[in-house]
Amino acid sequence: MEAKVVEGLSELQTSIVADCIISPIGVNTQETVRSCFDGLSGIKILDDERYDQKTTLSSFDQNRFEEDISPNLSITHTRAERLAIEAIRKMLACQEDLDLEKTGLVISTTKGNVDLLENNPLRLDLSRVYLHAFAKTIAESIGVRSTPVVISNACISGVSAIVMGRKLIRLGQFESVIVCGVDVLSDFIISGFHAFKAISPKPCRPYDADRDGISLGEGCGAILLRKGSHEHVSLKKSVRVLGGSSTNDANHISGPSRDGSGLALAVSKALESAELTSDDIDYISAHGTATRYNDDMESKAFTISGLYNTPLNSLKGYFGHTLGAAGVIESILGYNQMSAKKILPTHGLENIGTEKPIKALSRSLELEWSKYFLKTISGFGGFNGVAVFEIK
Amino acid sequence: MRLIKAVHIEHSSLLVDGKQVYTHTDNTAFLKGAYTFLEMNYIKFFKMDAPCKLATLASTCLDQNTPDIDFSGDKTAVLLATKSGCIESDIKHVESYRDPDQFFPSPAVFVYTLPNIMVGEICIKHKITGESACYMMENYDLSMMTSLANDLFAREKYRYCVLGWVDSSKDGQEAHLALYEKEIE
Repeated sequence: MEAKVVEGLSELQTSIVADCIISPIGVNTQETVRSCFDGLSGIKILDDERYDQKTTLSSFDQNRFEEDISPNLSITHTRAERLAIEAIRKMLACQEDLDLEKTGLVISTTKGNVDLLENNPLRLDLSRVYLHAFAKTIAESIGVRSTPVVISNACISGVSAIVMGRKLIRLGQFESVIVCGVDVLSDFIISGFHAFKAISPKPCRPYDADRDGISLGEGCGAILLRKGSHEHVSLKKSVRVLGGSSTNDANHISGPSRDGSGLALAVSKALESAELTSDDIDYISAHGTATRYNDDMESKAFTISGLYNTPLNSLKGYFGHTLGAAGVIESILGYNQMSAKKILPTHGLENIGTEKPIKALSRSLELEWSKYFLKTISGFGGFNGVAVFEIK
Repeated sequence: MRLIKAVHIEHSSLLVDGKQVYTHTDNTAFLKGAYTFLEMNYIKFFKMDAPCKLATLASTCLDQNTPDIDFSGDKTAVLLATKSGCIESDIKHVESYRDPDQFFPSPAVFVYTLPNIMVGEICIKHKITGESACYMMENYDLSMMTSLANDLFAREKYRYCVLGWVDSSKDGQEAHLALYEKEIE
């Protein structure tokens, strides 16, 4: 199916024409969106005697994973690779005119195949633990010839990858770019976040007064960017990436800045790159990990940015913190909410308890006229990322 | 863009603009020796894993003997590339939980299991708040990294960019960092 040209072709525009989310609450974007609107959550509570506290996470049912996610690759590929390949293949199923020779690939992940270091039952080549090799395996399976760009910017990776995809098109390197954010859960990640005492024993409650930590998640989000102005294949609307930025707190490697200045700077740089102001923004798909510090930091950043009255939510209560996939998955859900003119409640939020008042939604909100939204994200290394989207 | 300074660390030698300023015969003693040589006085250094040590040693060199240049703040970007990333910390973390009888995962190790932490360490050391990124690649892609820096100079309000490659694995340790400045026309 050929993507319809919505308006005069501009070389500078970057459109999102297709996407696919695979999460424990949906095998594609539509199903994941529906599950969220139905108020479902993939977060489970596990009791593992190795840890002092219970673990909350959203993970795939292993039997369903084996059946649904690239089953033909079950003895040659890792879980993370299968997930990425399945999401990209599904996304490209109705893109017959896509010239893969002229298509770039940007992979965002925090840990890729790191689980090979703890357990390698298929006896795969251990060099696949290197993220460039992980990305190359995915590229080969989907037929992309160019060397993938691999971004590992901790939790902001997915937003960085979308901004990078737009940059590659703008620099004239590709006509189309596939952006894929993926991370899977393993003992590596779970034991590490437990060591940090960052995991909530109950499903996470972003921005709530009683929040006490994150719920982990696994999943994959893929989007297809194209140069020019094209309609999104299933939403039948124009969805564009208008700009983005990243900044550094220069404060601490594992904690957010206390004052929110780094994220506020990222918001202002991103708005500037999109030639918009904070007044133009109709909705923020925020980070909302449900740690005390992160959510307070965001409330201060949005206050500095003049966005304290802009409706926002965190989607972590639906499918946990999906790490390197979060930026991509949550951006896709961002424009799906805008398209439905309905913003999801923050799952788990009852009483807002952030240091500065913000308009975090505990109930769904119908939007009348809406056009622009931000995806904001922060992570280890003091990194902050913001992407600006337009939907019309 | 204009090159202000280039720093290379390889084979246990530290080179500034092509000239060797410090070397050590012993690989493991090199990092501490270079720290002392540079008079860093930065206690955090000893908590870091090897790629972060390499990155901060190299960035400290970029910052020395350039009194006219202040690359702190949001006008500077730090774009690094690496192949091995934090693989040594990854292995160390795996060893801390794989054996149920010796189960002691540590936050001090886990925090270094992200390859972008070395970018964060450079930003903290020099108070850099601009664009920061870590790219994973098999070999240093000079043309891609240069075009990203040029794009920041051309389209955004960046004045400086710390660009380079840091890699630490059992095969060796190296850091190649360069400080670039936007060409003023």
